[in-house]
Amino acid sequence: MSNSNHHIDPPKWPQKLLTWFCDDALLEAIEGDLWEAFQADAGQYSARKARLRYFINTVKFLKPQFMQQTKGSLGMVSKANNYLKISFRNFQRHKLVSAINLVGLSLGLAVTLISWLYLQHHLTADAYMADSDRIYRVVRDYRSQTYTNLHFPNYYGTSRQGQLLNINAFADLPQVDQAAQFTISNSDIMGRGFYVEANNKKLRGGPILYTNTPEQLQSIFQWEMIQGSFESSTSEGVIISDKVASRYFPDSEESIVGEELFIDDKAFLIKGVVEHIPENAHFDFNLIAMVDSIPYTWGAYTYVKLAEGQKDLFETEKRMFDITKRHTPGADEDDLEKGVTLQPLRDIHLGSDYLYELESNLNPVYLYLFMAIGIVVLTITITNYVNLTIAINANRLKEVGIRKAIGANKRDVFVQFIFESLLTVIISLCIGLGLVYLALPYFNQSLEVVLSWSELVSLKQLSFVIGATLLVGVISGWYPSYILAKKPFEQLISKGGTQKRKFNVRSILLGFQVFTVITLAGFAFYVNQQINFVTQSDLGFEKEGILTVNFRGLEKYRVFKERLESNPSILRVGSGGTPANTRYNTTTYKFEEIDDVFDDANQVDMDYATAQMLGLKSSAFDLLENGKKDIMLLNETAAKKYEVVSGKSRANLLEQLLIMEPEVIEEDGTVGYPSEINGFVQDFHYFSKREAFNPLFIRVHKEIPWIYGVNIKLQTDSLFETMSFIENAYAEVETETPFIAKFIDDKLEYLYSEEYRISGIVKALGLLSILLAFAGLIGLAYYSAKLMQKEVAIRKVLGAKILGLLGVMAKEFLVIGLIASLLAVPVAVLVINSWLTNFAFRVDLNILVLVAIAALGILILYLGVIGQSYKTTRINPIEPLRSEA
Amino acid sequence: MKSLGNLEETVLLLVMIMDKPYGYAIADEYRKQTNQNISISAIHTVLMRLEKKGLIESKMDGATDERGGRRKRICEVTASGKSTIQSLKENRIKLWEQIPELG
Repeated sequence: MSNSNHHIDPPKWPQKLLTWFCDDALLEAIEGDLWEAFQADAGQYSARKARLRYFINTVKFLKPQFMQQTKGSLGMVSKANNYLKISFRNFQRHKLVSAINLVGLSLGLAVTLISWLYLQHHLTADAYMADSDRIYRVVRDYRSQTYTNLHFPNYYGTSRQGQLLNINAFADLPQVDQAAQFTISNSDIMGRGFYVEANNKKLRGGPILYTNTPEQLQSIFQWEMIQGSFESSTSEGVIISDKVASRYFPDSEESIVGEELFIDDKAFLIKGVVEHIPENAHFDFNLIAMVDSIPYTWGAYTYVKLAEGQKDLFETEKRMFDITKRHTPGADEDDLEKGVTLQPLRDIHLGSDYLYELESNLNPVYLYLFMAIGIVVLTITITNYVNLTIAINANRLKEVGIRKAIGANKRDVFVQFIFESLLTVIISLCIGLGLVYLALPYFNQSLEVVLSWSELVSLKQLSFVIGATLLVGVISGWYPSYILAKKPFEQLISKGGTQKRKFNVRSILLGFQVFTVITLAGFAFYVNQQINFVTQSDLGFEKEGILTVNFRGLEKYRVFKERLESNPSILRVGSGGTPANTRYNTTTYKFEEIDDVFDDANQVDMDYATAQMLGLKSSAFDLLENGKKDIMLLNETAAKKYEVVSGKSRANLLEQLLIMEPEVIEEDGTVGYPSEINGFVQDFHYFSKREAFNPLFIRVHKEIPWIYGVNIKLQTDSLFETMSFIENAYAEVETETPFIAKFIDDKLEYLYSEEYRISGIVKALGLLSILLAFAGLIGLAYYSAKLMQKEVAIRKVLGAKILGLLGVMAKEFLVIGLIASLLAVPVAVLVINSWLTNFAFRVDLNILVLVAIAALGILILYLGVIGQSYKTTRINPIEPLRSEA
Repeated sequence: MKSLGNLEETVLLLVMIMDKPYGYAIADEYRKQTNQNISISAIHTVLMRLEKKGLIESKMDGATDERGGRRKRICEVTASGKSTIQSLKENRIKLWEQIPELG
């Protein structure tokens, strides 16, 4: 088999590795020896094994002693010194461009770092306890909606035993390890504020978590106890979060367990102090009240931890549904009960949008948006760097030529340039980290998150960040280094070295930047438009100067109302039906003589004063004026629906019956809750503009018999005095619950809080990336102009006009800009439209606006280029012609 | 006198035994003489060390087809190398002579 005349060549790539690594003086002999060994192996073993042995033998040479010039005076150290010196000289020579590079990279890295932190913050939500993947929230499917909470068997009037029926039965299922329930005081299903008093301090006590299953709750969520414990005793007590504890007991060095605490004058013993729940959890509380039965509510949020390895959710859900049906009177016959679903805990924070969510959760679209912007900024940063570096380095051909002439090889040149870019990114990273440190508080404030600096600089994160940054350095340094290093020697010193091709990588990168900037600018513009539209444009009702105050109790309300109306700045006082609501449960209904049952309508109760202050228009209000106690109005959408399903005209709908909850049949045979239709009212945005108009059944009362909130229409010119008047009036009639008031404008803002936050960030980052791209462009134009100095001088000598010269110089940029915007406009349309589909009511996308943005972008680009070129055309043509460069 | 490690000593001896010794050939010879495998990289390392100590000299020569046309780094012992190995041998013999009987 061995045939000395017939050689197989060893594989090429280990040789390349060796060439790259080894000292040139040693290389030939080593390669020869390896080659010889391979030939010997090839005669003795299979080709595969020979290759493997060759590879192993080669790898063994990757040791320091064989590395390039490790011995003598020209060692690694002095070479690095040389790299460093050249780098600094080069930075100094190109101050403008180096500064743009440095600033751009720093900002880009800072933005990327923050995006990274932000993403992590949201992706690790609700993962603070062990086995978070085994924890589920039990949600209830009823009608066509999903409730995030379960109801108690007898709603409000459920005893302790009743409240625990479902929980205990869930816990007995073999699939379930633990089951617990709680309600939080500011949730939609409790909606109360409390005064909390301890250590002689009486303050508004932020969210209170009420639970009657404290131990189970703790074994599911595993909160960190600082003092005390969720002890197993039947007596009631509270656990206080460390944040709040320090508010009530600021100087307490000792344990506060055993101290007394009052919630609305009800006394509790403090049983422990718990570390405040992480900010990215999907609910928040300051206090845990461990009570026998959960007060002021008709249901609770229910969580279970499934047994290990339990994957069969379907069976578990079915058995849980059986349990809830068994315990709720009449549920068995209720066709509207559709079942219960186990929702994974980790899915809640990212966009769960059911009824009565504990917090408005982050729509994952925004997370992706954020990620995309982070990537865009980083890409602009890198392309800036690559572009500018190629531009500067075009001037360094001679330097490279001389290096090569005195014995530098490809790798030396490559390493020099990579070294420079690594140096730049490392300096930028330091500046960028500084920027993150400074910007983080503002960022946290505007996005309402708690990103921590200490998390970023933890060893694990930081090593990742540094690694990633170096990668950025290598990516951005690679291309410029590569094209210079590979250029053959002759091309470097000959005059042809700087010749330009029309569409090289540089042009593509430049075009890409223009493309991103135009897309981003268009998107930011429409985000802004849409936000203005949803909050500022016509809502179908008057919202100016309407204040809503949390309030309960008819007797107190009458006193309160009388007090308020004595103030001439207060125009009207009413109750119920405040718009800008978050969604709540719909009702089933049918129209008279029509069999179809629908379930897409919401019921609204308001008094006449509220209807008037909202500017609702209906001819049926006359009935109230003439002494009728209450009237039923359909909004436009409901009326149209009735017209369509019945085929009757609008006038014939009056005095027909609307039957709500037709599934309920009274003992006397009445079906549902019928009421006569008295009139119609315009469509108005009762919910957010994300929702389309749905049928509303509005009952307008002369006086609402139950009070859940007060609406006050006031003159806004002496706002401060009027507000304190209202607060005083409130304090006179209501001593138990604190004063909570909001203008409708603020409610609207809250309704769109997510959009507000995101639009702020999109605008800021959009502006930043535009600035970055523009800075890069200026640098590029500056260099391009400099390179053309000689050409310009010759043209000028031959009689060219400055205007003509500018045209020539800016032409390349103009062509690139045009092509990029042609691509950017359709992409922007796509992106904007896909975002706008989140809203049922949205602004129209006008392609001309995008074209205008693109045109503006090109104009700015053009002016930038012209500005830089103009300097070149103004210099004395003798100067560049004389110089040898 | 320069100090020598065990492997250095063996390789230096091999260089003296062989005709036109170079990396791969020395590794081969080492294998034959000692029945132990050694990597080419180890031989190169030792040769570099010996050269740095001035015990051997090397020159590039003798390209062959088996080597893909690459030259060998052929080693030769220097006077200093010879005297070092000589005194090493004498020291060893002196020590050996002091051992009573090996039984």
